[in-house]
Amino acid sequence: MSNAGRILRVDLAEGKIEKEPTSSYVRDYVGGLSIGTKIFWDGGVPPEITGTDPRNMLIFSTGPLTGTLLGNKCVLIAKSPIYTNKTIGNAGMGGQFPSEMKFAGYDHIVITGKAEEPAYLFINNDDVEIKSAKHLWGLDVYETQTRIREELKDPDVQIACIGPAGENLVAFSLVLHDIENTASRVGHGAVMGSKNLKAVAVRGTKGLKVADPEAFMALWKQYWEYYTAGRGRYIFRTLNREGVAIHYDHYMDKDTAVWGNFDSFVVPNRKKEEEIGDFMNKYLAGRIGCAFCPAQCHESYNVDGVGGGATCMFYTGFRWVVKNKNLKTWWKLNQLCQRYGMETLSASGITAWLMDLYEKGIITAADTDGVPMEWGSEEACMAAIEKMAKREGFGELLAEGIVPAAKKIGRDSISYAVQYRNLNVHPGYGPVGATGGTNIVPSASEVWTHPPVDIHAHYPWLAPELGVSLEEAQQIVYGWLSDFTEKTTGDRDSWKEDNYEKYADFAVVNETAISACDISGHCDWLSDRLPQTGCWWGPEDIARAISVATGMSCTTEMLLDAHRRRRLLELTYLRLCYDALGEQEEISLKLLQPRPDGYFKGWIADFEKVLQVTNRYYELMGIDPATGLPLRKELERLGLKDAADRLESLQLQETPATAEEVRQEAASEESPKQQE
Amino acid sequence: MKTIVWDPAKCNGCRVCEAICSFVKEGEFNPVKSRGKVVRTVERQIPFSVWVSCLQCEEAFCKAICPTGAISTNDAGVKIVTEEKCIGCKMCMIVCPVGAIALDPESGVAIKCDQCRGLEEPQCVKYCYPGALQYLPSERIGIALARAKSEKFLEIAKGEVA
Repeated sequence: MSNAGRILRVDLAEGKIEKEPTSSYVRDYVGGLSIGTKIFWDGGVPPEITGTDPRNMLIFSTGPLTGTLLGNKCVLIAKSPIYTNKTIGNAGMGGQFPSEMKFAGYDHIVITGKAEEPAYLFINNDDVEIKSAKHLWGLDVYETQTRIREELKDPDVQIACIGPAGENLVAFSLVLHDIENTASRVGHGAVMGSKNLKAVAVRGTKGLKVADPEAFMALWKQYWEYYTAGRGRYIFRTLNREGVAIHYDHYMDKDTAVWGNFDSFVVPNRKKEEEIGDFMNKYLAGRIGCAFCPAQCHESYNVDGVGGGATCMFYTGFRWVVKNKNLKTWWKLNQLCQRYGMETLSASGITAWLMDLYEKGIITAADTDGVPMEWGSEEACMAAIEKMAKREGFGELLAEGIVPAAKKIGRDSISYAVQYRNLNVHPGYGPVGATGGTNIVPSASEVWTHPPVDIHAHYPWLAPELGVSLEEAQQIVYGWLSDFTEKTTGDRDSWKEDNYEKYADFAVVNETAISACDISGHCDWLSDRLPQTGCWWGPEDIARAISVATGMSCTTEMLLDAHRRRRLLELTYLRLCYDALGEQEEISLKLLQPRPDGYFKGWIADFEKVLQVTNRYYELMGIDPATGLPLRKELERLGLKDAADRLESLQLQETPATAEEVRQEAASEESPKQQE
Repeated sequence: MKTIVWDPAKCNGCRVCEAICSFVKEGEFNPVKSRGKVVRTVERQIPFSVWVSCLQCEEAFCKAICPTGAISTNDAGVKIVTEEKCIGCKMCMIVCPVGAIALDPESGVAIKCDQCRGLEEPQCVKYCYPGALQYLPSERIGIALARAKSEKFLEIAKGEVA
């Protein structure tokens, strides 16, 4: 019912367009990310190729709730051009596009092959056409959408497209829809670019029915009341007024905001006029967000001398990490990045790294085409962005991500690279304790997603909402978390930064909450993922919603199994890629140092203990702790015998040293030098 | 008579009104079938949303021009389309001064807002989170809008008093 019912397959090389029913995937994989991952797995994308090989597959996956009042998101899935060993990467995207896909009659869009010439896909309900994009190649993401709308003579067509960075196969390029919705971080822009695919434009007028309208409405009203009159009303009101932005400045409150290239966690001389709230008062033009969600949690700004735009995630990019406190400069740099279709966390992280290297004398201006990489320099940032997006000059060196760049530069530059799996670490919240585990231990980031590390950003906005003191608000937030973890993990303290023993239990719950959202199409912000904000809507609620929407009886256990199948397929594929490409993960040595300053001064990332967390995670997920591989028993229980067989054929050839052994060795070699 | 009135200053363009309308009236989520429409445009990366729906004209052109008498006024002053009589000629759509009438792509008849006849209040108003939609008696619309528009002045005035 609320599934559109069809999968659209487009082979760009052959110009072939096919449609098949979604139904055969639904029972085991339910929807969204899980079905998409299964389609990817079945697609036989060779593990040995890079992310920008034409044989890669790009999948847009919506869930059964996408397009209803309970969902508006899709997930993009492909072999990632940026991850070490180029394993599968996924990124969520909201806005109007995902719902429009469903209204056009498609749950998933599967794109294979490479078009001979630049092309874009136009989906108008049942009519699907591959159109020339030769005239669009080279245009920025905004201009591209304007031109397509004009050309199709339909202002309501919804478009996801790439900018020049994607065309130039920059590993951290993104796919952008509308003004601010992006599928970012893992390089889907480059995947589209490598297929000569400039954009996907969708128009749908079919609508979606649900199996049990009354029950659906009752469920939605419960959700609505929770967020308008219940505990969720504080975050909802805040999102609607200050959006996501308000949280970012609070990273400074407890010194989790990174100042410079992870050398300090204290932003010096903090001033009110340098904060987002002040900027918002001056320049806010309106709100924007996803279809049918009243929160509209993204801001649109109109900044004199720079221009309009909107944002969600990039409040930390090109700000503290490059030691820039001027928000007009911040806006200008991020908008420039966005126009090129390039992800700002990686772009600014790499720029900060260059600045660090420059300060240390490891590189000179001669290495960066004569541009001195001075801290906080707008010119330096501009040059880095332009060069990276266009792959010109030193940008060519950086376009594959920070680790390949460090390997090319040499000179011990790798010691200053702060990344995990070649992704720059989010500079908004410096990793703390167990929460930072996935940023510190590469194998941890491969297996468990990092639970929220931004707890300390949430009580400062809550205090005025509730009219209580900061300390009281803190206790309330801790209480919400403890209530939640008691219910879900049986331990009131499993969310705490220093609770390494129980942290994996929380990590699994958290990951499952996110996954349930990505499978169903619901937003993971307004869900059990963020109990510290008072949010609610967990897997059991989502399972119930899927049941009444689709008419298929979906139990929580079915949803969780769909999640486990997805995770284990990802981990299996990861191992296949590792086996084929054999790149070792690099450790961020900087993150292994004790915190130099601020609220968490002296905290040290405990490598050993993070491994314990990882082992516990393995145990909970049916993975062999000795090898990090999914257990045959669990794979077979989930009907994934083919994955078990693939893994076994690898192991028969060779049992590689566990990645951890190699890394620990690397760490022990490096640490004396760090102490000097 | 009551009218649904939209406040552009409060609207955040979320389109919940479209979803709830098409769901209540047609049992499906489909903006094309929503009686009220959120017209979204983007100008230099700045989004604008305009809400368009039937404002229940006192002298309704749609009703006057309908060749089959399919549009009538009910006791509450609401203009109603009688589906059985509608021949899908689209005359009403053309003459509507605000563009509030749509054509159901499947049945081919004109569809428009009936203020959720039979329900307590229009559902778009009930579920408008930012409070941009209000359901007001005709005689209060003027003053209500005046109040809304004067908020900025009041703010300044209050600031000066303080």
